[in-house]
Amino acid sequence: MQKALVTLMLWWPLVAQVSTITEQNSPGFSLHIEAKPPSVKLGSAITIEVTLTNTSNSDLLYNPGDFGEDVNVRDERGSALKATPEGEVFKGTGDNHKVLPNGMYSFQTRGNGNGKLLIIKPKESAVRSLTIDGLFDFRSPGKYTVEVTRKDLDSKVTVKSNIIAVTLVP
Amino acid sequence: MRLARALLSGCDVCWRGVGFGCSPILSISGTGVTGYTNPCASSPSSSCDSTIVATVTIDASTPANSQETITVTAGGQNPSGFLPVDTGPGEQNQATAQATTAALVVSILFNNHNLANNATPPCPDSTNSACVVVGQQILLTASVTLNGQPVQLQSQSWDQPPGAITGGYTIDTTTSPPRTGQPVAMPGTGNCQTFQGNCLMFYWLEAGNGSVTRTINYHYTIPGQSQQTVPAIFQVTAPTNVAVNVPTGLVNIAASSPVNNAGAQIIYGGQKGNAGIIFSPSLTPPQGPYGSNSEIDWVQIRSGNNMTNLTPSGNQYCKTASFLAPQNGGAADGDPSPALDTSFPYLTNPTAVPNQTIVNDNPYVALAAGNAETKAGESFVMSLMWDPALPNGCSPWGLSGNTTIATGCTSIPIPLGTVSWSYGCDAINSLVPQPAPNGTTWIAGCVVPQQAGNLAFVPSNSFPVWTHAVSTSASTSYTCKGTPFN
Repeated sequence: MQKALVTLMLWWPLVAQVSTITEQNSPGFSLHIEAKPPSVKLGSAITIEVTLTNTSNSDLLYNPGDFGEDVNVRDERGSALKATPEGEVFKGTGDNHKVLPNGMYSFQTRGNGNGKLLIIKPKESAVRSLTIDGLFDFRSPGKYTVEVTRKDLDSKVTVKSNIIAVTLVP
Repeated sequence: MRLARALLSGCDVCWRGVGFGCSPILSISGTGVTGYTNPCASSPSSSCDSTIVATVTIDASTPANSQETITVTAGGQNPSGFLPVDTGPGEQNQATAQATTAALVVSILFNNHNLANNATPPCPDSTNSACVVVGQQILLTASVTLNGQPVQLQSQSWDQPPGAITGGYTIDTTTSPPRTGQPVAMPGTGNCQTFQGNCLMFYWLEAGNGSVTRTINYHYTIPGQSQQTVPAIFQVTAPTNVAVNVPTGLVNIAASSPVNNAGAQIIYGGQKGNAGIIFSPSLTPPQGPYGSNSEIDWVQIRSGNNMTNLTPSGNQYCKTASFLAPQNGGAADGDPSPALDTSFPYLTNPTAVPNQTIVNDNPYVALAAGNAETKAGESFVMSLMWDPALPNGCSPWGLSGNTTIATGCTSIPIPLGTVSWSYGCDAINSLVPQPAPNGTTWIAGCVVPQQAGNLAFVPSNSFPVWTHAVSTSASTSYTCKGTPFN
C-alpha cells in the first residue's frame, strides 16, 4: 500500500517535469517505422509498425491507444497519394459527412477518445501498429513509399521517421 | 456349510444352505456388531429351512477386515441339522462361520488430497490443500468404493457452496480486443457445474471479512439405503484492506495534448500536471497460498459519447455510432450496451512505474469545426480485479500492446470493486483564437468537474460484463439527428 501511494505521488510532479527538462528546439523522441510485411496483396491490410524512442533525458508521456502520427504516402512517381474520406478525417481536412435515412446523418472526428498515458523512460521505446490501407486510395499494384511524422509538443518540432517501401501485388 | 460374506453396516445378509429348520436361531458377534435381525425367528416359514436373510448393523468406526462370527442354530420340527451330524426330532445343531468386514471408502478429492470429513484446515498453511483463496479453481471429485471397486450409486449431488461463487469468467480472445466478457452462472450446464454427478467446479468470489470457514456437502445414496452426507471443509481467504485512491483532474479545451493530436478537443486532464483520473490501488494479500505471479487487473467499461452540437439548423444530437443499434442509424455491429474500453486487461505502465498497478485515463472528444457549441461527455466504470495466478508459476492474463494474452492459469481474476466516473463539458466556439495552452477558438463553458477531487471506490463482487469493445482506431464515427437519443 505504501509503495502504491508513493508511486502515485511521483506521477504528477513527473508529468510537470517533462516540459521543463526537454530542450525547446530538440525533439524528445525519434520515430522508426517498418512495414509488416513489406509486400502485401492489393486490398489487404497495410500495417506499419511504429517505434517511438524517448531520446530525451526525461520521461515522455505517450498514448499508445491514439493515432498521434501523420502519415505521408507517395506512389512510384513521387506523387502524394489521395486520402480516402476517412483519411481526410485523419488528416484533419474533412469529416466524412454522410446522409442517413430518417433525417439522420453521420460524421467522423479524428482520434478515438482513448486517453491512457504511459510514461516512456529515457532511451526506452514504445511500439504500436498503424493500419493505413483505409486512409489512402491504394487502387493500383506497385511500390509506394511511406513516412510517418509526429509533432513534439514540447519542442514544437515535427519528427520524421525513416522512409520505407511498401509493395502491393495484384 | 460355509457362511462367509462381506458385511456392510445396515445391510441385508443372506445365508443359504439346507436344513436350517423352519425357525433357525441366528447369532452374530464380533468387532463392531451392534445388532442384527432374524425374521426367521419371529416369523418361521418353510423358506427359513434353506435361506436366512438378516440385517446386520455394524458400527461405522469398525475397522476394515474385522472378523465377525456367525452362528446358525437349526431348530423347529424335524430340523435336518448340519451334515454329517445325525439329528433327531426336536433337536438342535449349530454351525459357525467367519465373516470379514470391508470398508466403504468415500473420498472427495481436491488437488489430489482427500477432503472428505476433514477437520477445519488451518490458514495460512501451504501444506493444507483446503486452505484456499478467492479466484482459485475449486474442483472436487467424489467417489464411493468398496474393496477398491466403485459402488453403484442410486444418486449423488452437491449442495450449493456457501458464499458468493461463480462458474468462471469467460473472455472471448478470438477477437482483439475481446468482444465479450462475462461470468459463468452456477449452477450451469458445464462439466462439473450442475450440482449433480461426482464432480463440482467453481470459484469463490469473497471470503467474508477476509477469512471464513465454509463446508461443502456431498450427498450419495446406495440403492436400498438412506442418503449419506459427506462434508469437505475449506478455509477461504481473500485480499483485505482493499482501497483505491482516485484523484481527478480538470476538464479543459486544448488544441492538442500528449494524449492525442486530434486538434481542438474537450479533454479530461491530458495536460502536464493535470491528469484526468488516476486509479492507485492498495491491498493486503490473502492468508491462503497464492501464486508468485498474482496480479491486480483493471477493466474499464465505457458507455459511448453523447454529443450535442449547436449548428445553423439548430441542435443536433449525436452518439458514438458503435453504441447505436444498426436500425437506429448505428454501426453495422452497433450495440447500445457499455463496451470494453480498448483492451482486457486495462493497459498499465509496462516499464516506467515500479508498481505497475496504477492506471490513468484522459478521455477526449474532438470538436468538429462549423458548430457554434458542442456539449459532450461520457461515463465509465473501472473495475478492480485480483487474480491469485494459480497454480503457482502460471502466467495470468496479460497484454502485448493492446492485444490480450490469454491466461495460462486455472484461477480467474475476481472483482474487488468499482469506481464509476464521468466527464463532460460544454465548448463554445468564440471564433477568436485563444491564448496558450488553449490554442483554439473554443472556450470551456463547462463547470463539471469544478475542481480536482477524489472519487470513491465501491467494493463489489460484480464482474465487468460487455458484449462489444471499442478498439484503437484512427477516427470516431457519430450518428446525429434533431431529437435526443433515448
